[in-house]
Amino acid sequence: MTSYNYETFPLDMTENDFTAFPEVLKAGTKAPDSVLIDAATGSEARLSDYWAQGPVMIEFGSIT
Amino acid sequence: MAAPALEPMAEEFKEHGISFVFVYTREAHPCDERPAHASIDQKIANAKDMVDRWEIKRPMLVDDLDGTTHRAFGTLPNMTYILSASGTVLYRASWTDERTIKMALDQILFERGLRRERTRVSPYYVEWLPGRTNERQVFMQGLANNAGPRAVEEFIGAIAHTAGDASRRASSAVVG
Repeated sequence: MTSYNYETFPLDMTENDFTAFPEVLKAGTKAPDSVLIDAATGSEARLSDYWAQGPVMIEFGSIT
Repeated sequence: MAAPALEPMAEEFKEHGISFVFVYTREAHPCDERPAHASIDQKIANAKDMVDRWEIKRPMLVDDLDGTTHRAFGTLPNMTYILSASGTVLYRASWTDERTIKMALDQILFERGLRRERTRVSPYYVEWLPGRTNERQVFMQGLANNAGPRAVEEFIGAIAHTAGDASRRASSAVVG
């Protein structure tokens, strides 16, 4: 098990947490209401702040 | 990586009360210039750089250093979810693909119209394996620009390793 913030891209993409996706949060289940930081303001933001106003599309990613 | 085509789509759907947000994760391809995050300030700074580089107008929400949100949603580097107004997962994809996102959002608006007409709507469950374009040279060039040569080398190594494992598994399956 590599640490979440890995230093190098995992050699084996079929192992580690790259395989977790099919088992979590299937369609029809309720998403967790996570606390995040709004990069523009530095303040806390919750996903429920957004879904309370209507459907929300979430893209995950990083600059690299 | 980010999908620039989602910026105009976010504008298009805003008027229908559908919001788009971006969740910043660990560095998918850590490199010398942008190593693995050691602090939340570093992670926020990278997220801000991403906003500037791709002119992202969607809210940029940074996950905590341990990736609590990213891990809860499945930990893939460029996945997409659409949640309903009650936080239920309506659509999810292991890769961000604007074509199927658009289809899913149009479906949400279609169902909204049915409900307004008092037509009874019942959810049903779909799994789907659509194809996307995968121009590896374009991806590598993007990786070279955004992360540098070390990230490209590591990615090529992982592809070769995974392909080797798959072919070994296939041959052992034939033998076994």
